[in-house]
Amino acid sequence: MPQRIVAVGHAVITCLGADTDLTWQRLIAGESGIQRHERFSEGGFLQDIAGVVPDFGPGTPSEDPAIAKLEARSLHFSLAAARAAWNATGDGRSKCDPHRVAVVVGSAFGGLDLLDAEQARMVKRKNQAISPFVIPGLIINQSAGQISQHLGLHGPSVAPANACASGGHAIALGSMFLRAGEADIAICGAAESAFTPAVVNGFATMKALLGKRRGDRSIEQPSQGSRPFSTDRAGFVLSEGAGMVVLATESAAERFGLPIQAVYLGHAINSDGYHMSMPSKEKITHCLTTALQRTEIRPELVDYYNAHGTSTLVNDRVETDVLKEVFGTHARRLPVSSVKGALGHSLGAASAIEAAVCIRTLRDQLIPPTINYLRDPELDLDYVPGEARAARVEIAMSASFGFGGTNNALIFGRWKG
Amino acid sequence: MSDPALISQVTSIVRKTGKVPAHVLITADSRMVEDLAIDSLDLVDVILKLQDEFDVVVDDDDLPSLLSISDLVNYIAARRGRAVA
Repeated sequence: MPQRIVAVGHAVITCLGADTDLTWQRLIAGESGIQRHERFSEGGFLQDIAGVVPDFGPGTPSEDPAIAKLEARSLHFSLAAARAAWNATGDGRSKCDPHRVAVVVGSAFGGLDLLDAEQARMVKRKNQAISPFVIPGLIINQSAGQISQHLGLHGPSVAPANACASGGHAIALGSMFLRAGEADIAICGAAESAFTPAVVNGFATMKALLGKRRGDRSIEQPSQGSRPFSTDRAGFVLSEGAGMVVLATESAAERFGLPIQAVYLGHAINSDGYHMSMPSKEKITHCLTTALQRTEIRPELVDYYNAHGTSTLVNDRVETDVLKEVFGTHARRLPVSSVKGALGHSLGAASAIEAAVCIRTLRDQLIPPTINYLRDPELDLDYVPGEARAARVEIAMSASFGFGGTNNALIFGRWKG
Repeated sequence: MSDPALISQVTSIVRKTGKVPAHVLITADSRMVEDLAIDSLDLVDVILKLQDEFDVVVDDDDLPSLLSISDLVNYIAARRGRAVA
């Protein structure tokens, strides 16, 4: 029997706070991190409502001097979240072999913000010279590289770039390194900050992003822009941040005295093989069902489903249909919530943040709500609207689906010691 | 090397951008690689910052001869404000 994988640390940085406890408290309180930002009101952005991590990153007092030259916000998020998650594993981590610690940290876009800023500087220079830090800061695997460098780790280092599923894929891949015996511990997650006009406007042009529509409640109340599963949902709100989960084999956790927070029961990853951006109900259903089959968990034993729930018309309808298919009659009883109502959509980082949310849910037996929800007669599941709910949660599933037709479903279990 | 303000500005950019520790003394004769241990990427960044700050263009062909603080100061002093073809 393969040995169990456990979560021994986690951390998030979100628009609700650059701190895991703060983010969790505010999520549970039903608060939103979405605001209108003046800097996006000018400069060619088609939307100025966003989820921005406050007072953090390059050029702020909190700037990490270790990576000051790499002015990509996602790198600062990922290193800070990895440091926090790694520290959360306690002093026992010093006993582990750094060659057996994997770093699996991805992103959808990497350092596009740095590219954008430096490209603007480059074209103003008479000799078109550009910063030597553009390339190191742009590449998606630099987060994994910087985390390895600054935490002194030398195991496998890889960077899943799977759009909005990157973080979940990273956790799944990290667990595979552990199961394959190639590492004892894996720092897994993703980071994102892609506030460039091309990205924002690209999503807006696709009609995936919330638009500036007259009469939309976000015009008066920006915090109501992201409203997963709501009848008036009108696109996702772009945000930024990072999520990290530290996985370990159970034997390594015991050997090194790492604090076990949850059990990582397993996952499935698959491909739609269908369309560049539209989700496939059939293949997402297959992904969730496969995750349940592999972990030998009957659907009715899942106590909480943390939704991809982007607040787009298509995703939330397809995901609801998928849940009815996968969970059958249990779908009506299953609490389903999307923290994207509060956090917006941080693309690659989102599913890693949501995995951390599942670990907190299992620990605290509290389900975070879907905020800004107004009932849609066609979407008739229990979306935990508005207020957090105390509940017995033994098993939690989190799923995410990325452009390019890439899906994952992760399953975590409550640690009972 | 007669402009103390220029020397001070260049020294300051070299220290900050080249990540030269505060305890390392920078003089006009300090060589950026050998004496100040500035790595190759930071050195390119130093040149870029000097370009931006003083509105000069540093030709790639001239880079091998820009070894010390005084080399930089003299180069900038000679080219500052000069129109570039």
